[in-house]
Amino acid sequence: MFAFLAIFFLFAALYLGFLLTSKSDKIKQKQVEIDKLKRTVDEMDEQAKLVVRTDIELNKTQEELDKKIIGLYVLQKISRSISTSLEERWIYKSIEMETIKELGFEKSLAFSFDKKEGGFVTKINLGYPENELEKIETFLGKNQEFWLNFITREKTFSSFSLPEGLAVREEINGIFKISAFVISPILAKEGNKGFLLVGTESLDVPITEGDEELITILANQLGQSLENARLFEKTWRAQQELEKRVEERTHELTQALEEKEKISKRKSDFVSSVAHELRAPLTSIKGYAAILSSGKLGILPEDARLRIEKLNKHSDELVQLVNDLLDIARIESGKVTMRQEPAGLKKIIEETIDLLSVQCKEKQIELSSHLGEEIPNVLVDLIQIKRVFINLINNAIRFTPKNGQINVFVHKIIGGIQIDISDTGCGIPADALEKIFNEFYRVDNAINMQVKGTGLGLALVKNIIEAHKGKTWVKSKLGEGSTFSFTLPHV
Amino acid sequence: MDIGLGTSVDKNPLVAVKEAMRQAKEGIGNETADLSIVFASGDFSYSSILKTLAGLMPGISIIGSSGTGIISSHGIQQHGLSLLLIRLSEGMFIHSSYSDNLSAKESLRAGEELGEKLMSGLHNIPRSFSTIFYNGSMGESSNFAYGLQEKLGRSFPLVGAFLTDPIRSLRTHLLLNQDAFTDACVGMIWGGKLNFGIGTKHGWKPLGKPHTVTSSVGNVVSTIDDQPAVQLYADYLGTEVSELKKELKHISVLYPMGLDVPGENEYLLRNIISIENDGALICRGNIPEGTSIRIMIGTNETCLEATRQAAEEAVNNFTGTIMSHKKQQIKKFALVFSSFSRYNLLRRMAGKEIEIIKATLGEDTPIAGVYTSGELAPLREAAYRGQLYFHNQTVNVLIIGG
Repeated sequence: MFAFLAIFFLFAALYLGFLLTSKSDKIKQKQVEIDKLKRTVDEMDEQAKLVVRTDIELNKTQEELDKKIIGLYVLQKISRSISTSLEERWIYKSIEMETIKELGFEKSLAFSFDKKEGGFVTKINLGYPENELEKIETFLGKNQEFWLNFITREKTFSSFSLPEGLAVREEINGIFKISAFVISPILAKEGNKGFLLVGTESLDVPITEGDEELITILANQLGQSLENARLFEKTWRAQQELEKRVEERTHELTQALEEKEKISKRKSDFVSSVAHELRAPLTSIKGYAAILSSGKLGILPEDARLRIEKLNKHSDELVQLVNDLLDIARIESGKVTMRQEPAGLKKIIEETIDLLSVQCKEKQIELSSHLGEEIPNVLVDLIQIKRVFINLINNAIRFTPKNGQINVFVHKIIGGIQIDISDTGCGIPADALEKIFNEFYRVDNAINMQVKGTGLGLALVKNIIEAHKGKTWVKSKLGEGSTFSFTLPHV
Repeated sequence: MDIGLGTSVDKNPLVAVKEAMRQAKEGIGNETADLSIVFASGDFSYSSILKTLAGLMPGISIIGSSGTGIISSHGIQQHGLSLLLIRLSEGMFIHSSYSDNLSAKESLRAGEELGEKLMSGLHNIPRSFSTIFYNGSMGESSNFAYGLQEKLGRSFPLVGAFLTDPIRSLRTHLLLNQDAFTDACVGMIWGGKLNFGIGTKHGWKPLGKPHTVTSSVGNVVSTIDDQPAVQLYADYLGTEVSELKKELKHISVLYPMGLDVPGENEYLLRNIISIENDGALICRGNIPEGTSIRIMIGTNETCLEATRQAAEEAVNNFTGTIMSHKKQQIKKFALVFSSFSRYNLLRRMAGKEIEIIKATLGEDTPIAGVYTSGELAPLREAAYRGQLYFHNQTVNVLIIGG
């Protein structure tokens, strides 16, 4: 029995030992699993730390990127606005509260240093009531040197670049009532310099390098636009000055012209009245000369008769001179109105040629006309235009040597008809061309010395043509002949 | 119920109130309203706002607050005013009250006091829910919520906004009828025949292994896993404490602490306000010793997705209690309390939150609200009638209609 019990206990002990070993293995196995799990959790926790570290970097980058994108968008908007403004006040007005808020701030000031006034002038005020602004202006006045030095240094500073606790930073925070800021100089090349401040009261807005860059660009943009505006104003002022001068000169010229017209009228009036006064005694002289010459008062001795005939002839010339002078004076003063009516040039020219054919034959000059096809009628005062043709062709005959040629050309031009009367005469010196249409001007040449003339013919021609709204001119070369041209309006 | 919404960005309080009032009155057919809910930026003169409001609509009940950002159907304004005019339907009741001198009172006691006062206004009327506005600069508020629920009931639905001005550090004003309090909280209890729906979400997800708060008092966490609390962040971010201090505002929003609440699926978030020299973390809200915490991570996308979920949850809660044939007839409005941390994270995308809420609630639902520094709400939907929690970084959508 004892032996049986001993065997039983031995087996029980062995079994318990086995069980214990088995349990212990399981515990060890569980412990391994727990350790493994714990290691996995720790590893996952390490991974979580990596996630957080990466996440925070990503967040910072994202935030800075967002800020830059918004900033660039805002800058583009402002640039578009200020680059189209050419007035200083509109450039500053382009910076609006909405813009500043988009950049993450809610206050902004811009000051410009006025050299004449010797102080800072407020150009932008966003977010400050008048009483606060006054305090700020007083502060700037007291610390003018500091701010001028800052502008001269041409460097932006902010809550980012100034260390916390620095007296300047704290002073700016206090005076401008902000907790974060960026201040950048506005550097116009030659105009007034100043600075731009943006700030926020928020304690939650960290200023970054990106903010500094952005506000610097904005301030530069402002400076550039102000410079452009200044240059524009300078150019504009110069232009205004020029316009003013032109206006003054035009006024002076108008006055001079009016004066000249007055004098011209006075001259015409004088010539007209003198001519009228001359006419009556001339008619008497001519009448008496004619009576004496006719022998009605007795036969005159031969010498006396010859002199009386000369007196008669010179009287005729004097009458002609007085008539021409009267005509010029009347046309110039506008007393003679052209009785314009449609007329055919062909007929006028033919009649003139016919009238002057005897003189041509005497000098064996070939006078011919050349009218183009379909020359329309002209709108002229027939009597006056005939005088023009007679004067010009007569002149041509006078200055054309024997066996010469005179041609009358007629052709259409835009808005009228052009008539050219050319001869193969002695020609006119170049220096006389400009003066040839002046009254009493006579070219100094051999023919003029021999042939008498009043010097009024061409002046009369010019006046008649101008009264028809036409133009008169001459082309000539010494020894090669001349071409006198004029235009007339067609029907 | 008739509702009208008006907004203004005019700096003159007189002009702003008149402008907003004119718009809001159109929504209630130019009739007299029973209640006005006002949110205005902190730079206004509140006595002028209240006087003008009372002058334009004598006898109207007013409740509201200042805020660092004003939310409305028209968007978000840093400076501005939004005004809701509400004309209650028959059988609908409201009662408002306040508790002042908060700085001289225990939070728990202040909560109890406001709870008592609110309860006293609705005798024999079934109470539905409550809305609270609390000066967030008064410190810890978890105990305040606890005190409030002691009186209103453990499962009584409540949405609260804790308000400060982290941008300009302007004083917070709590508005109640003709009083503009600073050291106070104001609240309103709603009862009778009305419907409501609450949605609260944050959008942050846990990351890494759980850690245990081994030493804390109130909102001061001294050690985590027996290490100085700041070490947790230094380890995760791989950075020096000095660097952490500089970047704290940023880090606190991106990686808040997530509190594992037993019995709840969602984590409660806690922002870190500051780092003490001994490595302790000062948090926005209490963290009890022994709490299991996680580092949380969120992105703009998860944040906006949470907004959509909160709005959907509010709509589901709201419509769930209404018979289907009446759903289209019931007029409603929404109060939105969104954490300022969300605004900080979303920045230029912050307006999207309002767009999402508008799209979910319908364009015809007027929205008014304010950015907050803390929120009071149940962790799960209101139908669960769960415990009230003090939140950070959530968006809260409260739809009220009837």
